[in-house]
Amino acid sequence: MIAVDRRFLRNFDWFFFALVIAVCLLGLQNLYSASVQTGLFTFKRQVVWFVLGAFASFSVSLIDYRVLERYAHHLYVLCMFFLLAVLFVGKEVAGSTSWISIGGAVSIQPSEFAKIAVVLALARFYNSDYEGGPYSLAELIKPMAAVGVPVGLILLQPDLGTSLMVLLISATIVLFMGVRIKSLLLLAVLIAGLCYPTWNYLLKDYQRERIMTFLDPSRDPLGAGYNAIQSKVAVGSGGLLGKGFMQGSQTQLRFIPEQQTDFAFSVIAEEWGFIGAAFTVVLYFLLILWSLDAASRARDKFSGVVCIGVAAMFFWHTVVNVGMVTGLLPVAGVPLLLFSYGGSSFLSAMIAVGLVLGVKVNRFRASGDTIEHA
Amino acid sequence: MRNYRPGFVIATVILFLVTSVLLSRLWYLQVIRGREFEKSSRINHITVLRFPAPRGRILDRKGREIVSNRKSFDVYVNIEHVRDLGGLAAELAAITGMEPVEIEATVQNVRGRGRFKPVLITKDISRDQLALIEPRRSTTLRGVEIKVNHLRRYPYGPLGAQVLGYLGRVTGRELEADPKLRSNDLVGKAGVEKAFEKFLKGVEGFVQKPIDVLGRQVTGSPFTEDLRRLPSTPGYDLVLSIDLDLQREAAAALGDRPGAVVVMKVKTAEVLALVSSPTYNPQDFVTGIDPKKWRSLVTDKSHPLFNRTTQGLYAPGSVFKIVTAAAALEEGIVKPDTMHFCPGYHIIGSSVFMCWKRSGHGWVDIREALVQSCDVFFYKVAERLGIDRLSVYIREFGFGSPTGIGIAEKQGIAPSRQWKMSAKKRPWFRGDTIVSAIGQGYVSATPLQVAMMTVAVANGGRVMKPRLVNKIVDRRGEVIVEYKNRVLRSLSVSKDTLELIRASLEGVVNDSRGTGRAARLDEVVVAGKTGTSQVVSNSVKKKLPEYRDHAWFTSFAPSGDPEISVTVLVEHGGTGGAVAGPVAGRVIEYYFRMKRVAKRDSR
Repeated sequence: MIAVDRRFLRNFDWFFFALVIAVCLLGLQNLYSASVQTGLFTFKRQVVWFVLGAFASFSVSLIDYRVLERYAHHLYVLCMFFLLAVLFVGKEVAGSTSWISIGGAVSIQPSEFAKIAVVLALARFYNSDYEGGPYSLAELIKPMAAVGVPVGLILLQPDLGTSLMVLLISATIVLFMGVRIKSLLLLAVLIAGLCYPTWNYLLKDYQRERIMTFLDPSRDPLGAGYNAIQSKVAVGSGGLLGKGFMQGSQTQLRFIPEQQTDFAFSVIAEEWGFIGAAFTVVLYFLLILWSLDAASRARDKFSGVVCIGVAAMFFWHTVVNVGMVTGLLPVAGVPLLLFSYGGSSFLSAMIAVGLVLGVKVNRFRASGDTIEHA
Repeated sequence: MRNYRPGFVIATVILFLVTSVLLSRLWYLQVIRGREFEKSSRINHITVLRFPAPRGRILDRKGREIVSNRKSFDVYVNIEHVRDLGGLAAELAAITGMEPVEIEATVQNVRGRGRFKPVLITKDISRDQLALIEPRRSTTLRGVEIKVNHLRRYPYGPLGAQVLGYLGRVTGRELEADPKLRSNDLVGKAGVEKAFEKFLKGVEGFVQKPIDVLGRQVTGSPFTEDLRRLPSTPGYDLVLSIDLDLQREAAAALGDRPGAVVVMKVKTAEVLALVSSPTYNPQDFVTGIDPKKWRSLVTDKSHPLFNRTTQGLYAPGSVFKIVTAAAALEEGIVKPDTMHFCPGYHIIGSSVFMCWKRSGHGWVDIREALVQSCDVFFYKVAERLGIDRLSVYIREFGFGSPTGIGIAEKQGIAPSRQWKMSAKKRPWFRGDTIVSAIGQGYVSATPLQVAMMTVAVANGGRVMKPRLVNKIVDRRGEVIVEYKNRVLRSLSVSKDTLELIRASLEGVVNDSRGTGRAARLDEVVVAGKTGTSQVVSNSVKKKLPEYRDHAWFTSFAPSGDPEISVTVLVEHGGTGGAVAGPVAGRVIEYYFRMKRVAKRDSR
């Protein structure tokens, strides 16, 4: 099932791959600057992740997606198992139990991989449905359950940001594949109707407080709001051309507490100015556009949905993260994919990239044994 | 996926639009407002200065401060501004009396992670020391910062210490329970300081200050858009039901003997004084207690930290005869005129139960049995009554369950057949009933429980919830919470029975043969009951002080229309009438003298 031949090399999307590597390198130089004050510890680790990620991405692109489809459910179940396990054996960092420690040195965050598992599960659902959309709510019960379980489990950690990502990515796929207008309206009414009792009876005080702070960071000006203020100053002070590599005062004096992870984008904005920040945003734009393009060229629904899922994943992460860093959106713990420090998010993003590469590479296999629906 | 064309068009359009929004936002922040932010980043980094809220005061019922706050000046060093740590440490050490090495080590220990933050060197320096440090902060002591904090102040020293409680550094578990706490916070650890923590605490204030790249504070900054400030909100004041004068008098009456005094207002069950002796000085806890002192307090055999009024469990002894008498009368075991003969002992099977008066009391009715505290009368009554009927009354009078005063308390033991089976895994014996009837054996109670029993009798059978805090007010005197009188239940004891008991208790103090004559006063009729509870059985030598009996006296006055109730326990004091009685008498006398003075003054 994995075979490298000339057709593979010819079909391999070198531009897309180069785009991804460019984003990674930009992220690495950024992390170097952000961690130089603390001994480059995170930078060195991220270099290892980069090598592993590039390898993972390449390997995934070699997998025949029919195999992926066959094992989509297995992967899903495995992921759910880890999400469940993390609640019991996970280690707590900053109030959330999101990590499973492996031998003390490496921790993985199963929720990052859950995004991919959900995308694959949805892809299989739509592929196995021959009638096609738009779908009614009753027909969507299975995929909604498949999304609801991980969202719920991640909320229990609690990790509002990642569960929101899973929800947004899934919603994008479902909407893209079509939902009946009536069902859509019904769903909207249902959600609105459920909000009231959930808010008033189901949620505990501290949970309400957390959500309110999420929506309005000025409620907690010393915590989340503090980051937002500092981040805006860092981004704005970069100006058009930036202060230069390792010259950002906000960065070097570590005024932004999470500048290596969630607020990494503020570092490039400060040190490389509008030019650097806009360049990065454009790279992400191209990356998403290419994934969409791959989706539109896909010969079957499975690979199409996978590509849409990956596009949605990059889209939402970029929008929510950059929105947060520039003070447009509330502070949510959402990393900028390929850019923020963190092995699990990096690896899962590279696997996602590999899936898109694979769809393009594997097109030659598709002819003949997949049915095209008109 | 060709047939999804419209979807792809819409997705691409959305992608374009959103990307342009992000790019415009970057353009707005970095190019349009870039210069402004650039300036602010140079001189406008923000630091957050927190200032702790003064804790609420604790006042007595007349509004006198029992616990208030004073300012404390704490010394910090910010390594960023220090040029010569050795020199600074030597100079600071000379002023504060610390070791230079100690100061250097403290500063250097946190060098790695939190090095932008000032490090605490010492707390609560004197004003003289402050006067020495302050002028040198711009020269040789650059980097030294003085922060103002609030510390507890106890104008009356150890008075009422166990009721007030003390503060201590927050523990890990407390931190987990309340996300607003920080690791160095002081929280109430005992007494009302603990019970009313959430009212006393207040809300920490903060101000966000612009600082420059080097961490120096900037004044007159042009960029103050996002700066916030929140003044601290002082905690609420507690107005206790305690009367300081009475508390002081009760403490003085007890003196340095280990024991407890509970003074209650009968009608409202307000606690007027709650004395536990020996006591400790809460002043020692103010800046975080010295470990050596803490160990000595905890290991002290006389347990000064322990609030004997609510946490001390003692056999109630003869004061418990009030319960037995009520049960016997109510259940028809004895009538007011029933007589029993006391030869000085009572034999059941092969056991002999002695009366405290070896020569015997002769023929006595229930009134005389209470007045002279005849044990044999109650042995005989208990034999007929049985534990099952007796234990119902024991529980009804409040024994075996917490009183609900609000601070830490023990519930004691109200013995019954079921209790013994589950706690001791042994059946109930007849002898157990006999000793229970005179408050010995398994029965145990706190002085507060005995006081509540007395209040119930004085109050026409109403069992009340004791109240230690009258109200909670904010700094402007606005009432936040007001605590009302609460009747928990009414005893299922008739008026006649209560009247007979009341009259008997009056006899205890006023009859020529009463055991409580030492508490008699000329100006007011006192009613009470003595108790001498055994610590060990009669056969053991009673000469050793730790084996001597506990002395009890519980009383109310005026007997006809009770106003206050006083319960006294003197640990290993000897006989209740002789030892505890005069203490109660002195407190009651003081109360009515104070009342007369107040009346005269108001005229």
